[in-house]
Amino acid sequence: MATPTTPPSRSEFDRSVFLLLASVLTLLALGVVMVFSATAVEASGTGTGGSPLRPLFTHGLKVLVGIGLLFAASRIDPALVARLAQPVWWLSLVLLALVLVPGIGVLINGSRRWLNTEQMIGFALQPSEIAKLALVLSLAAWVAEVKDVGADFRRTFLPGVVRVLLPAGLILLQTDFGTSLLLATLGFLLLLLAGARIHHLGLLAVLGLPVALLFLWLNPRTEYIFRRIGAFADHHFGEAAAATSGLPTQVDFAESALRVGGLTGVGLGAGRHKLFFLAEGENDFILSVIGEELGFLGTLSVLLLLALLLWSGRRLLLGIRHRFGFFVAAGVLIAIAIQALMNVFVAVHWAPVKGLPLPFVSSGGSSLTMLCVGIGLLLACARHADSTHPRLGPEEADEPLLPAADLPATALADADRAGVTR
Amino acid sequence: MIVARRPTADGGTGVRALLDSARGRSVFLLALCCVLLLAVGVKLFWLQVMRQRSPESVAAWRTIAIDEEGRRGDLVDARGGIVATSVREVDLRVWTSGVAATDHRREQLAAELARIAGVDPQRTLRTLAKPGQWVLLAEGIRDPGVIAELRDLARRPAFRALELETRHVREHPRGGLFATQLGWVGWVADVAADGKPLATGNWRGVAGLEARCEAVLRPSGGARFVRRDGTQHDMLDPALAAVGARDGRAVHLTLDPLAQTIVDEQLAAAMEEFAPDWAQVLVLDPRTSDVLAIGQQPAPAAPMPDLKPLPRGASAAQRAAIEAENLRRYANHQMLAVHRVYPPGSSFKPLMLGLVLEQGKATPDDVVDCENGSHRFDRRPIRDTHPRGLLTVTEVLVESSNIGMTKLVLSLVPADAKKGAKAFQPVLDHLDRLGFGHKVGGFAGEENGMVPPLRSMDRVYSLASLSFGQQIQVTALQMATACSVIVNDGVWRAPRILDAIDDGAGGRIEIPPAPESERVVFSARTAAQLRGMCARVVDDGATRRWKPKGWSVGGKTGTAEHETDHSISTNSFWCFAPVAAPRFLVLAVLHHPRKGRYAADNAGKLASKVLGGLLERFEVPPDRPEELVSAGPKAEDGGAAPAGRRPLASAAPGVIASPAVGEGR
Repeated sequence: MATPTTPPSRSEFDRSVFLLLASVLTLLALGVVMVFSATAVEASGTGTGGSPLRPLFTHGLKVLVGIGLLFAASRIDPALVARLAQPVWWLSLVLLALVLVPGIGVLINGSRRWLNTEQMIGFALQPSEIAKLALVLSLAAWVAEVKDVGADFRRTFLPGVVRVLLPAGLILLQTDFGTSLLLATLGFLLLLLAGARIHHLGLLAVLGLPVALLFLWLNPRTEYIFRRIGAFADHHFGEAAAATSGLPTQVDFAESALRVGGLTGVGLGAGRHKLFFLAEGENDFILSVIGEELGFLGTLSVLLLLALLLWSGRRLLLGIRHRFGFFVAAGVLIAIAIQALMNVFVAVHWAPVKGLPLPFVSSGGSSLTMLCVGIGLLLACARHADSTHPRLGPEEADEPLLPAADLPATALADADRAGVTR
Repeated sequence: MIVARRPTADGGTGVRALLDSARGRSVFLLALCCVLLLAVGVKLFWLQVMRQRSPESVAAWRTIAIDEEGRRGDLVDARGGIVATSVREVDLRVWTSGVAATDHRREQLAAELARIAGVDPQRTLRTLAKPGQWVLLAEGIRDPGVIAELRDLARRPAFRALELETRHVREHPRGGLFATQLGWVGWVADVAADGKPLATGNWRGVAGLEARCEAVLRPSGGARFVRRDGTQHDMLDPALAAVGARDGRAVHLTLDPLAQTIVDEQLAAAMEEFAPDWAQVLVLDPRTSDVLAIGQQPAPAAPMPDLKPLPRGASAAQRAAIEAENLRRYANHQMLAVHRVYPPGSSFKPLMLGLVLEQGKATPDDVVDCENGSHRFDRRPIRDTHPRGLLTVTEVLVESSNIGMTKLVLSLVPADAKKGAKAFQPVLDHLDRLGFGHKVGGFAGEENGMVPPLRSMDRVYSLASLSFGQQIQVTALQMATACSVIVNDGVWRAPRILDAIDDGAGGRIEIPPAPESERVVFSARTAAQLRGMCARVVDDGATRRWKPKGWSVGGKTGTAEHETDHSISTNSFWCFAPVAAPRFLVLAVLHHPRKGRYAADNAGKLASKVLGGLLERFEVPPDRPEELVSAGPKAEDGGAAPAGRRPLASAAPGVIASPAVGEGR
């Protein structure tokens, strides 16, 4: 049996691809059903004549587009992706900046996170979702280029940090704290994977965190963040950190929905919390809707599918030998993992409300299509696991590669005994 | 290029070795994520399986019972006019923290309320500025269109903290008419087993007819069972049952607005002319004992007492003053006809004389020696205001001789009857049959009156006093009902103020008389004799000057002086007309009038004016049309004849007519 870091065999590769695609497609299918269930009543306009089938068609269309993009992306040469990585990152920055321009960016629920593209493509594009993938590609290209990110603070580490902080800062300006946090976490985890030194990251944290907190404190539009944190603290520690209304909150309804569902749920479509009690039931709190209607068996299935996705993705990840592909695949998987964890943590009230969708399940065209593209790129990199294109960087070994001249004689002897190729 | 593995501290194996490579770190990271996902699974198991909740225990699934309060029944007067009705009003309240999330939302709510209900937006904003409070935004909204718009507003997710509270308000379309009788509706708290008031309770009638008719007027509560979505929209669910609320039924009263208006007008005039401490007039239809009007002065302007609130931080003196003022205002709302007793004085004499006649102890034409106005019964001296010698029994009543009456009434009991002897029981039974000593109207807080008990009954004090209406306290309703016996062929009928109730289908259900509501007190012959004697009282007595021309009138005055202060008296006069077939019985009582010493001077005028107004306005055919022809222009005081008496027309043989007849005491 292969060790955790051993590249998979051909049959293992095929099985991993199958499991990855099966988990993604199952999650997508479940998403179509649950988004329809969660929004049909709202879509009918409670008597204003809307069609309850509208969300089925619109979300179904997004899923079909996503699947198409997934397979299209899986056919792309990773070298081409590596060449486009930096322009895509710049494009994402431009889009993030455009969102802040009134008229181009759409203000919804007090936040300006969407581009006014509803008329053109059927849904409002969320550039922060593009920025997530762009960040992964940009960092992967940088890591492939510099080989050891932690080698020099100024020349190798800081350019990577800039790639993270610029989009994260722009997203924070949109007052989308959740996505900004996700992006920063994703970026620094990738830098850590790429060999960034802990003390570099620590120094950055010491310098950056006060600035970020000061920004949040001074910006009046970020008041909701402290309110959410206050509500979270109130729920767990009893003392209200912020003025609470005394009315049930989103999280109360989310927990109530889960508990009503029990083991097997109240039945598909029969949930009641989605009837305007639980806000964003088709998005941030879709796990609660699943929990109410399909019970613990439903929510556990979602978690197992996500775990299966990550674990099968890991098998493919280990087979990729070039650094670019490796970091693209790792970035995509980590992005999915962080987003999924943040979403389910909020649903079970282990974290304050952040407003992040559940990957592949929640509605939200931008997130869904970008995740599908990410999975497609992961597959593309896995298919070209052995490519030696110079843009893809050197082989990503099990362990960091060092010049033989830098090693002491005893280490070389150890390497010889272990059979490492010279 | 030569590459080699980086050496590790623990010889290149274990977790440290794993974390030293990007592959190892990524595997570790993804494994950690999977573990965290499974940890969430454990939490979900705990939430969903171990702490599962039944759907009915959570707001989204709960079936809500919406109490539906029916409308309180109307009170309808004898002419079909509504005198008390219920109107639905809505108050709008808000939990300020529920809409205090943003300035924009507060401003939006203020603008909407200004548009829909005309509420000052600045006031709304000031109210909403205080978080964590239930506050009133608008009250007393009656327009159904406005109420519907407010309901829509409260259903919006942004304004879920709005709450509309429906209540029914009692209104009196005829204003202050019947204000004394109607009483009011108030909040009555439920009482716990230990007697302490609870927070729960109900709106119910607490005084007057509202209280008396509570069982009929009170609506039965119903409930509608609904499920609501998060925006407070009711969701249709045919499986949910509903228990409909039932409106209270309307009660038709015997009170007549025309009669009441006449009474109120004359009472107001009498108050101005005679300035008594209080005055009251009761009008009955003596054939049925239907109460047609009850008037009193001072009278409340509206059925509900307008009480002054106690200000915060008031001193003890201020508090006492306000409480005294409120007690006075409450007192105005007492229905004197049932809540205040008075000594009937000589107006009681016909009722005692009836027993004498009934028992055959005398006839109207028998002669009684009235001892020239002064006589000692054992050791008790009794005097007449106007000394007379021999008088017939009829003349004893006309002259209102206390000595004559005492002699007649003492004949009912053996001369040797001792104090508390059973020989006095027939007299007390007679008073009981006439309705004295116990409630007759069924009103809350009604007085029993006061009748001497058997143990204190003796001949010369108790019985002699009873013969001229002393040592007894009666309510006006008791007195008027008892007097109806004389005009009603000797049958006592309980006073009726409730005529019928709506059957809920547009019809009426007559309220049947209570089992003990009718009894024979006198024979018809005795009653006829008494009617004739009472007619003589009016025709030949001092009240003749006020008698309405065109109709025969019977009646009797009574002037009861205060026991110690003889300048204070309670004057009363009851009268009926026409004598042969009486349509109205009027009782007027004035306490401590400042003008007129005897009842004939003030109470007689008041009752006669009321009676005249009733006969005229109700178009009762005159039974003495000749008086109308001979009356000519009306005298200044409204009476055609000069004050004083005319010579006794039927004086008994041998009895010298006196120049004037005064009043008994």
